[in-house]
Amino acid sequence: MATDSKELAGLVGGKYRYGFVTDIEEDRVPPGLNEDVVRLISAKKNEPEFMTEWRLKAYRQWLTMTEPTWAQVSYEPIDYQSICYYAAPKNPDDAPKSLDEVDPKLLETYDKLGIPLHERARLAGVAVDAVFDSVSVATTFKAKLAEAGVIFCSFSEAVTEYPELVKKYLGTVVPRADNFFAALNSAVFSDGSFVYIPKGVRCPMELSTYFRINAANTGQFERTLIIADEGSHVSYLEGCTAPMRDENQLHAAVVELVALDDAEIKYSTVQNWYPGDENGVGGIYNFVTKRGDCRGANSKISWTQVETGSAITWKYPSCVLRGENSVGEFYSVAVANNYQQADTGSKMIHIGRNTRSTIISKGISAGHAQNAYRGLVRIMPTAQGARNYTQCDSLLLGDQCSAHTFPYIEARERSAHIEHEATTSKISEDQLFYCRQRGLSEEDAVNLIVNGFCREVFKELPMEFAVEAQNLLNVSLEGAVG
Amino acid sequence: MTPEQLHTQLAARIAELPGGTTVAAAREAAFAAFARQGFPTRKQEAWHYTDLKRISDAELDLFPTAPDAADPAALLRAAGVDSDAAALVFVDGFLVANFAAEVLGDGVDISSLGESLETLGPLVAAETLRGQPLAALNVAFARHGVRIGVPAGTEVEAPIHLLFVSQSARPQACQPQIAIDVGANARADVAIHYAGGPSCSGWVNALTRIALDTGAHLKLTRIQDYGPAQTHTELTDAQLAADAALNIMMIDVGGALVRNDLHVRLSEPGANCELAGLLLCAEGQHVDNHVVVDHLAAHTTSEQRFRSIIGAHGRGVFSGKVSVHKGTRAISADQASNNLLLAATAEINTKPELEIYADDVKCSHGATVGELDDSHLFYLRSRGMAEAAARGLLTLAFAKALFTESPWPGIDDRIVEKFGLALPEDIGWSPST
Amino acid sequence: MVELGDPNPMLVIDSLHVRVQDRDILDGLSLSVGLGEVHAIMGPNGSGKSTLAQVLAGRDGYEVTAGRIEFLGEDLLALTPEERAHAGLFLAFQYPIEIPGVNNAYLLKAALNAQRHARGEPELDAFEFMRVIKDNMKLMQIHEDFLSRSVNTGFSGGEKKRNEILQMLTLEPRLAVLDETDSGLDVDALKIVANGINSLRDPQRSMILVTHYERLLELVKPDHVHVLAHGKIVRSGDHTLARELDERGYEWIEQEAQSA
Repeated sequence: MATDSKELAGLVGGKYRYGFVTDIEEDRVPPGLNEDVVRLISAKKNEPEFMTEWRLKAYRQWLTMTEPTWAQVSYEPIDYQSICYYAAPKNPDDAPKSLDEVDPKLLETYDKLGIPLHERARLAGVAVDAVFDSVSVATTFKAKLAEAGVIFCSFSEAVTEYPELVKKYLGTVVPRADNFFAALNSAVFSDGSFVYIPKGVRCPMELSTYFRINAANTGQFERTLIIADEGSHVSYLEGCTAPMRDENQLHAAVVELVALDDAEIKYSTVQNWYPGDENGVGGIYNFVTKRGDCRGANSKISWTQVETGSAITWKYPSCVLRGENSVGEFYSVAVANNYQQADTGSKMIHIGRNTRSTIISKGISAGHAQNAYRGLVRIMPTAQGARNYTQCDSLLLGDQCSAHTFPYIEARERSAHIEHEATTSKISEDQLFYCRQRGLSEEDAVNLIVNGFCREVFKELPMEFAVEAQNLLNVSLEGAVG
Repeated sequence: MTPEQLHTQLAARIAELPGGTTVAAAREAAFAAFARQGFPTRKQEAWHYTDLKRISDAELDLFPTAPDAADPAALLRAAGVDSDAAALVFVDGFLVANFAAEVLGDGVDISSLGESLETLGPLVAAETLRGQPLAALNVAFARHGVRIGVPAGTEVEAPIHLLFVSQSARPQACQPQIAIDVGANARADVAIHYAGGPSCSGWVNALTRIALDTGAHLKLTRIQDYGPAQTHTELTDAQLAADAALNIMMIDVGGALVRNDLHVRLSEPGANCELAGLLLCAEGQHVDNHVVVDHLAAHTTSEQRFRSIIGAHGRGVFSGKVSVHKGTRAISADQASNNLLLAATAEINTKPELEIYADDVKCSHGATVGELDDSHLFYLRSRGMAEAAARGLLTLAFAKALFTESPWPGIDDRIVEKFGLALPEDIGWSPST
Repeated sequence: MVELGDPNPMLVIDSLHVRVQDRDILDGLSLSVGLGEVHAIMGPNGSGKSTLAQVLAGRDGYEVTAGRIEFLGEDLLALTPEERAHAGLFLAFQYPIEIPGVNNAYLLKAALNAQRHARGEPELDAFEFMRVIKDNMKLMQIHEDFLSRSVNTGFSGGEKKRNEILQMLTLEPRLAVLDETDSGLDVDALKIVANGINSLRDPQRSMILVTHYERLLELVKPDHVHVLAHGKIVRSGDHTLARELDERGYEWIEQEAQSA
């Protein structure tokens, strides 16, 4: 690792690695939000009537809601009328049908990101859907997936091609007016990924989406819906980057997962939106609602996230454990350095009998950052035999940062069994000295110990993501010690 | 009761309340602080699980009438306090007996609240009332209570008992105020008992203000054993100077709606507190323990151990926060919330929080919720114990894991009675083994 | 005892005073270790043995108030802990540290390569590293699954100590300081540890064995034995001194030292 982190340091000079801007022709609507803008977005995407209505209802509900203030984060009020709600890199009327039609400049962008679309996809056997600003630009490996009956396409395409599936599941996990940001997303979401795994199918490859915000003054509101039908299995990865800009940009996504009987969804995220500079200027506001519904018996939903980016993170990937014997898991590493603020955690709602959940959260705070774990474990009276195990550990690097733990535990069933453990401490002097006595520099020793601290989460990530996550962690913490 | 209605009651009688003009001004200021915040509602994070509507919507007399008759000795006996103890007995707020002076002599100042307000002025600082509207209400109406002053270097070995009994069935609110000041390197042991009859359905809104000077030690046992209709809210606010030590044991047995706020400020280096609580609730009871420990100085340590046993239709709440402030170091804090659910309709909400703004810390918390451990039950049954007896024994053992010595003679019986436990004594097993 | 100005000194400690948390622990300790020599430092509990080991390795919180230490001609006290390691100083910890989530092989490879890098030697790839470590593991009777376990986490006392010696064998230091490596070991484990230490004896390598008991010195014969009491060396001799201490205890030496 000593060499890994040095190479990376050389590569990025300790700065955000993905901070370039791609110069590309854009189709964008003027800033501001009203019913006409919502209609315009819907029209640009050639959406059927039901979708337009759905958006408008969401917009009207959003107007009645207020921005949540309970999270341990602070920021200047957001002017929702100054944000551009739609920016597409190309005229969507002739959206690319295959990689060959994708603007070569876009492909260059993904090369810079280290995601050469076709090569990476082919070599790794990963099918990639790339969302650039608001529009899905390319989905690889469609044919191979189609053979297995798997639908993996942009959300826009799903709305027109598979309206029945969309109608049946959209908003059933995260209702339109679930919260302020989810309602906003429901009104203006521009694109995202759609996945349907048919009965009994084990998806033959990892599915992956890369999200990138490129345009200035733009909000990104993608929406992802994954349905795993009975007995199916899918592993889905998502990665996110954005250019370096001095102003803050809003990202308010919604992810809905539905697992029917005996189905399993594994959802992994490496979130590396631009975190702002070392003085806290710029960066993405990442206000995301992610929820999985274990609707069927014996179903399983597993969230793994590595959160190193964003100026502010507000996200709580959750599981509603409805089906008997269903299982929810949440593994998280959240790093906050400089002036980053993270308020993240998970909710596990136990409704079905013998449902089980695990929460493993590792928070690392450095610089002037604030890092909070917020979690809810709720056992409903119907959830006989429910089990939860939660462990949340916080590591502090430096005396200007902070770490908070806010777990809510609500049990309404006697046979529930809940165990919660949490620790907060600074990095151990003994461990540092031991590593340095063996010859490691202080920085390498810190990286080694921090990576060890996160191991339980990293091992849940698919192999190639685990390496990326580890490197990201080292880069994120550069300059945090010494 | 709207703030306006309450203020009308206050304004009408403020001249009768003890203390001079400074105290009267403090009352008005405290009332203004209450009026600004109003009664807490569930919209506030600190009151997320507890609804105070039964108080805020009720019509209560804030000036209880003196009891017709009282038998202090019998009340002490019923509360499990020795007849020769240093005890003060209050009935519906009114001090009816003071046996403390004869036991303790002149070494300790034990004065009624009225006397103290006259001689010392206001006993509770305005900052104590920040975010505590109910405590502010107490300060505005304070009429009865006691101040205990232990001079520097004095060690008071005998526990000082304060018994507050609700006797009247009238819809009234009692707001006792207790101030405990322990001087430098002094040591004291105080036990506060709240008790009441089955027909008492009023509100007791208590405020206990503790100040420990350098090196002072205070052991405080606080027992709440009301009948099933009482509403009780209280704030215990403690401030610790350097190397002071505070040891609190809170036991809650009765009451319909009980909310205990415990706020400890470790203000100077070396201060340490050990807070423990046993919460028993069932049959429509709602009991909420809300604890905040502020680490404001280096080398301060805190420990919280709270256990609850919840029976059928009982609802327990524990919310404990450890807050480590900026610029402190060498902090150690540990927090445990263990909860035993005895019935299908039992409910517990627990929220152990850490809020940390320094890096040289060692903080941890743990929470468990569940029923009795099957393997423990099986072990006892394999040794020949009947299942019901094994359950009784393990339930009692769960509670007693909090104690090194029994904090109150009545505790075992209360647990057994409350949850209808069977005990294995008949076959030669004793719970103390 | 070797004096300052020895033509071949490995380590020279000159009148070292060390304070820990406002207490003076070492009070003018002097010691010289020549190339290839094995020195044993014995003494009662609290005499400052472990302090000496920690100061040599550069642990924070040990304040050197006077005196100096030269290691291979360099001012040791001016170096960071990792620079001391790169220069060839190894400390086998009395209480090896647990690092959850970091596996043994990873730490050892990172440490070895950091040291090789600092010395301008090429770093080893995974295959070369495995070749180096395999023989050492055999010698220390360490099972292969050990490599993927977290550093010292959940290890028995004996496993931890064997791990320290495995690291020493792999890092091949110039000067090894073994702090109570024999404590808590049963007879078989002690033999394995002693074998490991003996296999590393070399005319170019020196060792300091810090120990309370004589039993390790039966298996690893020291060239010199020193007794540390009240922060300084009160008596030095050959390995027979160790046996004498084992039979008579430390009291007589402390008394002699005080009356002197």
